[in-house]
Amino acid sequence: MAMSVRPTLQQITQQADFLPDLAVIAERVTQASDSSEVTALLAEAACLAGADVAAFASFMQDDEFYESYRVILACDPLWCLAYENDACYMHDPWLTYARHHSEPVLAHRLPARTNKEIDVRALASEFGFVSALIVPSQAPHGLTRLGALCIGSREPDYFDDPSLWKLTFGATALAMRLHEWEVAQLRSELLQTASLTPDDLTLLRHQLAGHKSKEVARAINTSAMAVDSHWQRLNSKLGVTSRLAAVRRAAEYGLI
Amino acid sequence: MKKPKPNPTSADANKDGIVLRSDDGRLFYWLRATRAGLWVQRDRWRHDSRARLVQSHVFCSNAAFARWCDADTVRFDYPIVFSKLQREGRALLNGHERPTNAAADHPAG
Repeated sequence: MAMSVRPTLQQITQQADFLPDLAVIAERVTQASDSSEVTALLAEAACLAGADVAAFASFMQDDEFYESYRVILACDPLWCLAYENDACYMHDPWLTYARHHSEPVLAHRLPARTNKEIDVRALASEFGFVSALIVPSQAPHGLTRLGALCIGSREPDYFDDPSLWKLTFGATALAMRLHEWEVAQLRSELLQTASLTPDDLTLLRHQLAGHKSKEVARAINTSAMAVDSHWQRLNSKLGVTSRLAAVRRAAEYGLI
Repeated sequence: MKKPKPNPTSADANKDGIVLRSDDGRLFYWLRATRAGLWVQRDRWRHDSRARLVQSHVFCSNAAFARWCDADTVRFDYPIVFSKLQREGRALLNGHERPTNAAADHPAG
């Protein structure tokens, strides 16, 4: 019986439709109505690239108390359970890279500086990311949120190919779309949980512009005391302790 | 001001699906049957590392879902929620599972 030979990255990226198809997947992410669709699109993109696994991870400083990590998995989900159990997010060299860089990188080029980082890398390898392409997606300056698209292969040198630029080009667009989709979900989540009104958003925008209560009161034709009172309610809704924290939270969630 | 309680509400989950939550509000699951299989979002808040980890995945078979459930250590901390998770997940998958997709769990693999 003939064994099927797995195509190389070069063979895959040489296909005329490779980049257009990847672009179509990225565009479909923007139209996805829920994360099950996004998971399927992520898996489709990995398959198109000849990869075995993929995940999109995002990070955000939620508020004064919590950091949140969100992972959409098109790979063995046991990886994420083990990742959480070992609190790998605190020592993840891929996330560390994504925090400070915007260029896609091959995972094996990232140094693991501590034993914990080595363990995190080994765990990823165990679950199919033997070699991996990491594609960061940054938020606007001043925000903590970021995303990282991880495309992995069980073959050690799968991505070490001169044609990698084609994949990084398409994967960058995909990572950006995934990040935008995630922010849209977060925005929707916060609007629902905090029951924010248009007046709340107006107040947040004034604070972002650096306006004091008296200035805001003049602008919206009310008293400074009413503005202060509104702020108390708004901070409570958002679960924060100050106007600054409220604005930061609203900005992180893409509300303002 | 008191430290706010976790109150995650998934925009996804508000559309439809089943929401399971622990009494202490530190563990949430959302389940929904989709065309691809059983979509599960697991949302856990950890005091020790002040972190929230939200993971979502689509299971294509009962076997894959059961394997994932068996590997999750929170089943010891939240046995009631976990029991409901297994029951509801199985029920949703039973309504969906087809012989053609029973062999594979994650589509990329």
